[in-house]
Amino acid sequence: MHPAGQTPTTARAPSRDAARDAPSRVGAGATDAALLAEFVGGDREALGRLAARHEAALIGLARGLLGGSTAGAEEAVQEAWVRVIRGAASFRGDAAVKTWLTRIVINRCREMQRRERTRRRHEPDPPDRENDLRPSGELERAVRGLPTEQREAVLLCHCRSMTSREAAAVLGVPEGTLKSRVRLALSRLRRTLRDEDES
Amino acid sequence: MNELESQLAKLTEPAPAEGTPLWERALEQTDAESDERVRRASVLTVFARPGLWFSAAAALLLMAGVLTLPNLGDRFDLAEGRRGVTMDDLDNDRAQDLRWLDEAASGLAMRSAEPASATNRWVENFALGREAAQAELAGPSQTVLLDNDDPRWQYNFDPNAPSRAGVEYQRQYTDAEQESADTISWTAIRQPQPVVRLVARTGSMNLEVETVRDASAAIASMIDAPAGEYIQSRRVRGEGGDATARLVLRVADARLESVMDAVSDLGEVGASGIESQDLTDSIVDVESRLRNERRVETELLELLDRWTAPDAARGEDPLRDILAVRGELSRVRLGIERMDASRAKMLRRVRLATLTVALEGADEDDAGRPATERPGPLERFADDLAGAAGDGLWSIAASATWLTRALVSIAPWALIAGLALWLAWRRVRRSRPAPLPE
Repeated sequence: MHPAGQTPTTARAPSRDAARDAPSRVGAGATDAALLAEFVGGDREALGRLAARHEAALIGLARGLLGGSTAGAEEAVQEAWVRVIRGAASFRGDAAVKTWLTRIVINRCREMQRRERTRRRHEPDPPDRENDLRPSGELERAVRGLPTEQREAVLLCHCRSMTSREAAAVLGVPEGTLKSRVRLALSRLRRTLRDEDES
Repeated sequence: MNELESQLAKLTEPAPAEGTPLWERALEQTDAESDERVRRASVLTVFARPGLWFSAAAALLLMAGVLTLPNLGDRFDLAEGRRGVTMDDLDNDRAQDLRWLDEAASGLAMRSAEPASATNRWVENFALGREAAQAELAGPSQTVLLDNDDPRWQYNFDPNAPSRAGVEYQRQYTDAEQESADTISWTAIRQPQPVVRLVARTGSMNLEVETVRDASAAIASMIDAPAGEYIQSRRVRGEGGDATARLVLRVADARLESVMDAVSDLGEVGASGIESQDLTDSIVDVESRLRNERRVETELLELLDRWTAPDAARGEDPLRDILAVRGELSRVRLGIERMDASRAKMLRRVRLATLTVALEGADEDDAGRPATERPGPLERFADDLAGAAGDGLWSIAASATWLTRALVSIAPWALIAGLALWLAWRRVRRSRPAPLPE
């Protein structure tokens, strides 16, 4: 989300010395954007306050996207924070910080799933790993079986921290499209779960 | 909210990270990466110093010098040692079994010198130089004398001994004879002689002459037919300044250079050169196999004579045995004839060098014009320059034509391949949604 015609500034975390010296200029009721700006200005704790608002929800969303793997979800969210730290200076504010964070997490989850698929192709039956992304239950398996667009739509809409308007903004589609995807996903999930019950 | 939806909400239920918060871990990770970048940058800064590179290069040169100089010395000593070895040195130290001399340095190289303990006779094996090998190639010869005429020092060929020089021989003598050998002159042996190499040479010349037909006739007259030289092919095309000719001559190897000199006097030489092919190994190999096959043939003939004699003791099926031997005999004879022909062909190539002469007429404008009216060097240079520029333009035009034709012929296939790739790419894109904008 770089502004048109503007080169992104070098993405790097505020230095530890700068963090020590920089006093916190925003209060507890500051907006996400203000916290991010504070972090860019050198206040590392501002990132902590931003994380306190969103980290748990992001882990929940990532867990749903990654078939119920908590370890995988934590890895995805940590990678997302690294991306945030590197790209914070170039954040322009065209979308809400929460939308931006959620998109980063979704992209990291897609990357991890792609890596996992490649790994499984070369190593079909790997030994038990902590971050094995294979679905653990019936529902997780059914969710994993959905097309990516439907899976993301249905999970975003059922996140307690996200409204359907926010979910549509994250996926960059109109609300109607989002609802249509959710309806299709739910119907497909019901069918899959019923078939599994019968078999 | 139905049960499915509540399960979905549970699946995405917010959950704090276990242990250190993830944002703190991410900060530590980026800090570590930043430190690593700084460290690498500092290392690169060190390597960017020119003084360091100069010092390293100087140290390497010094090391190379220290390592190389002793080897150079060794080589020098070795070379000197080789040249310094004489037959006297070898005679004085016969306890050492094998002595190798550089075949290239001495035409008559000693292979080994060792005492034959049972007879108390000394046996020396030699490889022959040019003269002896030539004698062998000219016809069967069993005896070769060196410069001295002492009959005790005549050397017999060992026809079965393979040698790179073509022939090896042996001399034998007793201790008493050896003592008197000190008085024998070894001058002939000590003289460095080139090792005989059987080389087929091929010369080629491009010539610009005033009149192609006259030059062609003049070249043809250079052939010494009684000595076996001949014109292998002669082709003349065109007339006047456009005329060209190509002659392939077979001339005696020793005369190749003189004939080339004579040909070069007929006009302006564009290019000329001589190529050589060493056939020594091939000829020696064929001769060795030929000797072997001839021995087999003799043995088979003796066998056949014995079986066909009136008082011969015959086996159960004498006819079959005789037919088998005859069959084998004809196979061996065929092999001998083939090898003989191959040997003769190779020797002919060695004896007669091949000279290919390509003749071109002088420019049409120049033909028949007195030398004083011909263009000077500057005019020629300008003409050449213009010609080269024209050639360059033609070459660009030809390349462009070729490229266009290639593109046109490839276009339909490229279109089909592009369409297939685009469809495949669309399919992949559909199955893998593009990343969300960050």
